[in-house]
Amino acid sequence: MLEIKNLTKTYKGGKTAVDNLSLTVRAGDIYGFIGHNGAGKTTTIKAVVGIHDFDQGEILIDGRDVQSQAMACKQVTAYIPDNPDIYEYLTGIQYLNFLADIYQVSGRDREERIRREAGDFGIFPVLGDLISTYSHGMKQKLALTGALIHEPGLLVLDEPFVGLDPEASLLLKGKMHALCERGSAIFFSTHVLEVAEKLCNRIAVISAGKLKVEGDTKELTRDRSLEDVFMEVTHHDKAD
Amino acid sequence: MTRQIRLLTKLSLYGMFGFNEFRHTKDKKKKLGYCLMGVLWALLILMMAAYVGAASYGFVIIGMGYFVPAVLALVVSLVAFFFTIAKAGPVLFDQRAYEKQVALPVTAKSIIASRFLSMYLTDMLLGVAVMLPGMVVYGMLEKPGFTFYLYGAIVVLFLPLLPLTAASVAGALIAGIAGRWKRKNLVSILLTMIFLCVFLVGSMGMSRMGEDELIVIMEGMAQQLGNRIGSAYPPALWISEAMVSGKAAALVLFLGVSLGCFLIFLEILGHFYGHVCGLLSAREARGNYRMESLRARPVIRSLLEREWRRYFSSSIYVVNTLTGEVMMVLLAIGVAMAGKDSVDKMLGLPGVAERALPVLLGAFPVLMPLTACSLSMEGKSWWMMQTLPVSRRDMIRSKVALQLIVTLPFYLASEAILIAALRPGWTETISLLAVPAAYILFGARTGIAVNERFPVFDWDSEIKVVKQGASVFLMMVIGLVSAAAPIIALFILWELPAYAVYGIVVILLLLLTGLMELGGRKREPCGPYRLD
Repeated sequence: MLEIKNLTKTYKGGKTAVDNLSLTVRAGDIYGFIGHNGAGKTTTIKAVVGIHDFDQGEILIDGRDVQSQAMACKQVTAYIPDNPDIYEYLTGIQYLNFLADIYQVSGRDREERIRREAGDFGIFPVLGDLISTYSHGMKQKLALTGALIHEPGLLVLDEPFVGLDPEASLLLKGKMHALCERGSAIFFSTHVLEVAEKLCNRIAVISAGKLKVEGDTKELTRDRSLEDVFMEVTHHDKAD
Repeated sequence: MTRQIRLLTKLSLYGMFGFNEFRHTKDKKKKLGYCLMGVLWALLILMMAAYVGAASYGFVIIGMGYFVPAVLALVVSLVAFFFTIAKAGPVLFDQRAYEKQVALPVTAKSIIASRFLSMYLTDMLLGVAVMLPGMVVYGMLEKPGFTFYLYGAIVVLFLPLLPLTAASVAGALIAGIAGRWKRKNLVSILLTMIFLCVFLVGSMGMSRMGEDELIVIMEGMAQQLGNRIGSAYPPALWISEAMVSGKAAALVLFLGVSLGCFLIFLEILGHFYGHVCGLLSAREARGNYRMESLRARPVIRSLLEREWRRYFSSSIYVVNTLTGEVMMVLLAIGVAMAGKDSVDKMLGLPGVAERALPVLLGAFPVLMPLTACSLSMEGKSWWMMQTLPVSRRDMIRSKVALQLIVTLPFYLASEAILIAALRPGWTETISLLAVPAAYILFGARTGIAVNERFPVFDWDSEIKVVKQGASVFLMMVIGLVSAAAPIIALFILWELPAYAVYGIVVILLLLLTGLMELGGRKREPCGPYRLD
């Protein structure tokens, strides 16, 4: 579903944020992207979803190039940043309707999905209120509801569990599993290693813009915890 | 308290005009952009200085040098008031900044004073730019004593205090009244627009007096000019008395009134500040949503609806970008009620309304189109447009469509007023309809093209985009040039029928608009814009 081939991104100041990174996320994968602050996770994610341009490499979503076939790629993707600044001047339902219009979701489908997702996240009663009245967590739940409205083939999330209450975190994990069971893929970054270990079937560790390890979670960890693997990989990198 | 004010003011100045970004950015292109803007500003200030110098020279030559400081002070005060009234409320009651600052160990008065001071400094620059050339010209011709320069320096420092206090009182009143309503933004927009209209009509009346004064001057009736300035804005006369006659009492009176008004305002507002901020930030949340039937709509309609809601959610955005349209209607009313000659006098350009009315009418909306900052207004939500499957073409069209929808009622109203009042012939009617229409289309499309070139997304306050944005400033320059060029042509080519020049103007404007539209036809996505 998502293929990143030799991605390199250098910022204008000359700092190479991502250096020759390659990875593959298959349909049905919950793929965790782990790294220190400033390791290059968000830069990679932003290149995948079309926010950042990149210097070298190729990113394919559902076999289509994100640079030359951007619109087709975006049509099957949903993205939520770590701090979703969504349109505060709209009400929740106006926001969801707007997204449904953009993704061309039929009236019946959007009604059903909004009832289900917003109901599950517990924000259905406040959908008539302005988003500016929502708390941070409620905004995040609304952003998640919006991301699921077109049943994306690829869901890209940047630190999705930050700001969510325990119940909503649990719910989100369930939603992620359900989405993958339907054949979608999820690519997300996180700092919470326990979550990644339990939730993801595949994992990649990035450090200083370079991919350190990538593969099946169980194979990578074996008799160790993900924390041990992460520390070993990143410490090795620092020692270098 | 002084330390608190200094620190808070420093903080707000960091974000103003991009000084801090210019100092610290490593992006050479960005730095170059700031340098170019600086050069443009310098040119504009030079042009203004030349104009002020020439006007002051004229006053001295005809023996009215005494009034130079008074007239310049009056101009600075009027301009400062006009440009501050729309932003005073949003700056003073900036809720986001308030929420951050109120948690710090600072007093409400310090917060108010620091916000006032950040506006004050920009207005003081205007005061220097206008007063200084006038003082230099007067000084060279009349050779006044040391007190002229000493008092002049003091006056320049304190000149914006009174108009800024007046504008802040208006801003606070509007915020206080709007805060009690459910639709706060709409009430705030309406009240500010009413204030602006009253001010514009009043100052137009004053401009007309200014023209009459020329006759008065010719007749050597200096006393009458003094009376008129005195009745319009008495502190302006005190300034002339202090600077030219060296009367310290007049200077003390000016400073006393300015400082006194500001301190009274600060004291009163200090008591209500938290309350008004609370009222403005209060949002009604019902939490009782019931779903009705949802229908799929075309993408462009959905985008347009979003633009509409965005636009009317910000009073400062609406007030600043709708002033041109309001002025267009006021011009039409002025022509209809007082005649073209009176409008010529108001504008200080003899024959301009007679020869170039359609251009004048069309020029106002081009000076401040909402499209010049509509892309920047996406702000921190810009990631959505970048990642959603929305083409750049559709996004641009939705923004241009909003501009046209917003301008349409004002265009129709001014056209109806003019056609009913002037009863023009066929060619005049077509000119009157076509030229402003072409300008409106051109302004809408150029605004977004300029904003695409100079977008700013990382802002904290809408003022940074609407009032201080490079694209807004550039659009104003483009608007001025696009209006001035045909007006000059109309006067130089006097033998040529006006409709021939209008025809060329319409064709050129539509051609340019078409070219910009063709450039944006490719169905490419909105992002990525190079923000890194």
